[in-house]
Amino acid sequence: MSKRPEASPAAVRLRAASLAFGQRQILQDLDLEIPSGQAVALIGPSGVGKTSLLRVLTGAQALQAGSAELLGENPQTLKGAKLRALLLRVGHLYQNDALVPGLRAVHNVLVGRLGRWSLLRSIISLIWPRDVELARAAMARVGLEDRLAAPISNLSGGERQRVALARLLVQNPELILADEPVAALDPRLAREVIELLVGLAKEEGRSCLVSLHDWEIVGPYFDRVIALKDGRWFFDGPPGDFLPEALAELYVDEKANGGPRA
Amino acid sequence: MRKPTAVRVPEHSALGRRSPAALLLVLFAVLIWAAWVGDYDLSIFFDSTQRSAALDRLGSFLAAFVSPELSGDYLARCLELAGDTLAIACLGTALAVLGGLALALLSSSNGLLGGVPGRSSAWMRVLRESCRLLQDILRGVPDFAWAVIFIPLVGLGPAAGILAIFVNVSGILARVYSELFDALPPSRLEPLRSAGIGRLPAVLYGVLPNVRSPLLSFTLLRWECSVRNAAVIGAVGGGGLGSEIIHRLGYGEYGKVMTVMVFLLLLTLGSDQISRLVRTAFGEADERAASWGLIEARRRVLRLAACIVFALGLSLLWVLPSLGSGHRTGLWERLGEAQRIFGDLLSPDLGYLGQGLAASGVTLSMAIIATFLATLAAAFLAAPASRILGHSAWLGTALRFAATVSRTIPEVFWALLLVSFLRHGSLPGMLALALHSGGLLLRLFAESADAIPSRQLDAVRDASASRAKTFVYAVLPRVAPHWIANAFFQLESNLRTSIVLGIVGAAGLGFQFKYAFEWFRFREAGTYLILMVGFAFLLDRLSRSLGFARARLG
Repeated sequence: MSKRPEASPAAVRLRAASLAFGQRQILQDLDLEIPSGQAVALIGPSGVGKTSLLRVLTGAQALQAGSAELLGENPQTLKGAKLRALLLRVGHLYQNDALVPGLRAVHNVLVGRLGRWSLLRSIISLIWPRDVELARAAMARVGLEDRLAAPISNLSGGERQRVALARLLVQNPELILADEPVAALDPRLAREVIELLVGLAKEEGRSCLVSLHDWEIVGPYFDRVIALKDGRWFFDGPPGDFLPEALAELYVDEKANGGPRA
Repeated sequence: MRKPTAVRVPEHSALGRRSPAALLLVLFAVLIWAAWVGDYDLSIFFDSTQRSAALDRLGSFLAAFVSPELSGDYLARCLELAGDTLAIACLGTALAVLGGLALALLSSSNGLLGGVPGRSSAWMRVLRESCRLLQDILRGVPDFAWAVIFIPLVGLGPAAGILAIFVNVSGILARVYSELFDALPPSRLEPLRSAGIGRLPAVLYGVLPNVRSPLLSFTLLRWECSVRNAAVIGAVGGGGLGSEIIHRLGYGEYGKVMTVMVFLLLLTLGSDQISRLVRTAFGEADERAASWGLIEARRRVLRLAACIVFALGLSLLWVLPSLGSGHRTGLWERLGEAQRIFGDLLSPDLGYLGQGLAASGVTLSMAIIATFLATLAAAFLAAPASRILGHSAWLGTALRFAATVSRTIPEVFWALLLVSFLRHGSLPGMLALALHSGGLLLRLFAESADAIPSRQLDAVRDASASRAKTFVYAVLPRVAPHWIANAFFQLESNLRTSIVLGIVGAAGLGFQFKYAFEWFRFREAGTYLILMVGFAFLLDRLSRSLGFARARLG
């Protein structure tokens, strides 16, 4: 693990983090440090705890032991305005785009600005979009400039995920947390979205942590791969070191258990 | 005008599981109880002096029917009053949209006080529940009762009407809005909340856009009702056409009454038409919205905003001169009076509970008997009124026309007329409900009979060769569930309206409340208010447990 400069704290840090749901141990005494600017893929079969790990980082899921740090602050203990200020610096990408279906693309992109806008401005923008040029530029970056006014219901799955990316650009976060962002897309689209996501992150020196079900998609895009199995780190290193045998072992449980678990 | 809304027959209605004999027995018992408790004074039909007096009044009204007051002055006066009523409805509803939205945001679990998992606190839950209670109270006390309460505070005139509609419709809209909000999965909000967006913007962006079109159509529907109700509120002193009709009836000037009635009908039919046009326009706009660019979308928004501002501005200018006219005293005295009245209302004298319960019985009875009579009449007339089953074309046309007239005249106007012929009592109230709902049910029943494919009827008709038998064997079994569901839906609507009829002189809870309030017996009136809220609450529960889909709320 590279040594980070003192001025910018690690993007993500877990210390002896433990979490269990009933008998099932999700995280066992885990440590993790992601220096700022690094692109990390989190892989593992479904139900292994990738989503829980990401929820721990945003404070949506409480830890049973240990601590979590996001951009140098503890999301588990922050509340109200301070938590919001921290979350504003973190961008999210979900499996199901999480866009508002009743709004046009432009409004959905501008949701990225909501955290910075005053209430009045937010209300006005709902009727009469503000900062349209910002939204247009973001949509151009994801290749959808001509779809700015389109209702979300008219967009394809891949286009929706791009709109979600444009929203991240407008939010301009220091860290991007993505939870299975391409699980609903076919492999070709998935690769395009991941390439775009990691590319956008690296251009501005943002860090990103992307959970992926499918190893195939990790490809050449990420600096580092971490794999979770039975609540512990199964692998942590550059993608090139991840051998096919390790891959087979990582996913062996899924086959044995007859498919993904929730 | 109430649109006849066909009710979906619920698949798992509580009614379907009981035996028909037991149901008939229950129905019979309920009717006997209702007839006994309703205190119907039928002497007007049997006592010759009373009868001839009533016939005289009817005669002079019928004479006026063909010669309404049509002088230019009076028409101008009526036009002005119709403007008042419309303005009261528009301003009251506009305020209620804001009030209802605020209250809904506070009481929905997807709203401002919604539970973020692990982060919702006890005081939020308490506040949310009290907002829901407030909704029920605002909704449960009918708008005319609110008007009666506000008149001592703001004086007679449009201000009381606007306030009454604002308060009551806020409660109704808050209920509808919060049910719409609650129907959305909470996961819609999580992505916004986890992006560091505050509660209010998250709800505005994550919840509101998803319920836009049902929200709009409910609001329009409510505006339509407000126009009708604004006229009723007028009858207790809330300004507009309703005040005029009460005045003229009191002086026996039936020619003028007739003119006002025509204006009222035009107003309700007009608002019906306007809201239909708006709804169609929005529907078409929604379909084409996808093809609009940002500029076009903005232009549309601006135009809509301009329309709303124009309508509200005009309404405000219209009523502004008469807004202050009702004030008799200074602000401070009125505030003191308000404190006294609300204080008394909130510490009701429960000694009047027995009297209130008796009045509730009358209210119930009027609705039950009226619905029964209307259902019976509609069932018997459905065959002759239907296009397929009817004997003669002209009888069918005449029946359908009568049904249209009967349901186009709102219950309150029927009640006003009947009270002026039959004098105050439960009889005119019951008849008013029966006439209005009879027209409505006849139309629905005839339509459902016409919906049966004719070749199925022909088969039975060929075998039995009698229209009556065809009706009993081929039609009745098929339409009965539909008819029963509609009759129950009508009963629910009649139970709500029945309270309101009290203010125009029919008996029951509404009458008792108005009477007590006008004699400054506020603690007695408070008891009746509690009963009204309880009544509305029980009705909600009942209709939900019977499982009928409700097309209208309130």
